[in-house]
Amino acid sequence: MIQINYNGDQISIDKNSTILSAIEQAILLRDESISLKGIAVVYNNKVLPRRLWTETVCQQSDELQVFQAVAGG
Amino acid sequence: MITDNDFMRYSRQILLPEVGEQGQLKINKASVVIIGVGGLGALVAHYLIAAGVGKIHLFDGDNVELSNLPRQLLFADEDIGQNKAETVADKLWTQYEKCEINVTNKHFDKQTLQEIDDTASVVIDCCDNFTARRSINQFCVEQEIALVSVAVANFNLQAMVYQPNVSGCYQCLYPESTQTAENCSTVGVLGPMVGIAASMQALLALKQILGLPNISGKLWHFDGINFNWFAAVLERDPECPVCSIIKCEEDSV
Ligand SMILES: [Zn+2]
Repeated sequence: MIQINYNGDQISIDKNSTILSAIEQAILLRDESISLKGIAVVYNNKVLPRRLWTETVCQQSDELQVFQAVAGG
Repeated sequence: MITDNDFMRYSRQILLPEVGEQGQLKINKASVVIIGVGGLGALVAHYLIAAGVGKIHLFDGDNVELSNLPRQLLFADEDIGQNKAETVADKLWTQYEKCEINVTNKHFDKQTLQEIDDTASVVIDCCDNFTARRSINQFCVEQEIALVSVAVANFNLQAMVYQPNVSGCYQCLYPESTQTAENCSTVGVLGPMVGIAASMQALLALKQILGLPNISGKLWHFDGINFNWFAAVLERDPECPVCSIIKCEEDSV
């Protein structure tokens, strides 16, 4: 397991998890109900394009911020 | 030259070293496009017209509804059923006669975009869905016009500025595959969240008009529950189907 910071909280996830897998583990751990289609991901302070969620592997102490994408006006 | 009356009227803006008389003249000469004249758009239009923006084009095909009134402060009960863009134009023109206000009272689509004046200095995206937001972004990237895109729903607020050839675009942030579970008419929101978002959007637009440093290349997010603000770097996605194509064309010239 490795520790990462997820929306301000320390959580433990499997080693070699992709970003997508890390988010799925976090959602399970935190018992959240969010749709993966409707989120934006900030990885170590940079917006991570959706297509890279399955190509990028989480490292110890990485920071992930995940929030709902909104389009309302 | 600024008239004596305008000098008094805009004196608190002119007092700012970042604005001054030259900056006020820039504001007076600016032409802006506001797409969507609901919660965000009506407030942004009000701020910009009050600040002296010379020309504003309002786009909205929606009519005022009862459920708009708690946050769309220009509208009253007697406006229900009237077109939003026309209603806002009427009310603001009564108060600020100097501004040239044009209206397109149609639902937003690619055709409607043709009506956008290509001399506009900034496009302000205040609409309520991803599809329209992506089309507006594509238009701005192709026409090389700055875009101020702010969105709000529940306690989430997101703000970004696209400056041609400087930063990532809206599609880099939210590609085609991004969807929201709900559409705007089924998402809750408090009026002051919309007010914060609209005030920020008007400020970003004025900064753009004045040529002041802006937030391009960043996505700002505000969480109204925990009162957290953060900025994330928004780089151009080299595989973005909208802004990377433009870049390739430029490179090959
Ligand atoms: Zn892009």
